Amino acid sequence: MSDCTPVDTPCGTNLHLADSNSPPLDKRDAEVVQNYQQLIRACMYLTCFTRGVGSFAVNQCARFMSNPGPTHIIAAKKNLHYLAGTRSLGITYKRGAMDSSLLSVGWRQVLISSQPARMQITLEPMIAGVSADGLSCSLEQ
Amino acid sequence: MAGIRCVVVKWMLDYGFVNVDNDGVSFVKNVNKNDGTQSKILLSIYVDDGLLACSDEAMYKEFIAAMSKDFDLSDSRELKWFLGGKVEQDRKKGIVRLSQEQYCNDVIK
Repeated sequence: MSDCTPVDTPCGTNLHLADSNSPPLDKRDAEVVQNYQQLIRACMYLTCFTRGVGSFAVNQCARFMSNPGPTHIIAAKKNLHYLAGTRSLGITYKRGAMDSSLLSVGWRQVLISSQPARMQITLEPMIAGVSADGLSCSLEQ
Repeated sequence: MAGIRCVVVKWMLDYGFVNVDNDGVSFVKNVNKNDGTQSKILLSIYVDDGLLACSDEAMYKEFIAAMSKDFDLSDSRELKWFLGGKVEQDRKKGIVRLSQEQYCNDVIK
């Protein structure tokens, strides 16, 4: 995967994974399940340490840890493509007042309809920045 | 392992640290100096690994010396790597940067 096509977002718009994509329980491949679980484990570690942007996508994939189907594996791989395109990103903490030049662009999930059958999730650009006690935080190169 | 942890936590409390969470992980010690300023040691310790931040070099040395008496310590000075993440610091500019480029590369492989 190291020379895969890099992308800018951890998942596409309208990401909606369902268990109907999972294989029947008696047909699941233990090796595939294990590889999937290991991949999600690594992605979860990244999202809670420095790469929080991928949280939503990883969370969606993690719902199918026990029996992933092809669609789920594709969605998890999409997150790897995102990591490949943005591997040098990190969190910078800076002393002093929040500097507007540090503001970063992230993504925000917007729930369009609350009805599960028609649940639609889109990604919108968002300005993100954290400031507490004169400490500012940003996601930058 | 739980035994080691209890011993370390007890040692920290005896040394004057206050546990700021309820898990025995993060500790703070404040010392008022003669000139009216306050020095502070922040310490996060988990089983056998820890992070320490100190506003006063002398206080830091004193702490390390005291702890070395009772425990085998290895002091790796400035923090560069922690839990697979890279930590870059620029003290003059007051910048700390966390990144996981190496971890990303390993995952993508």
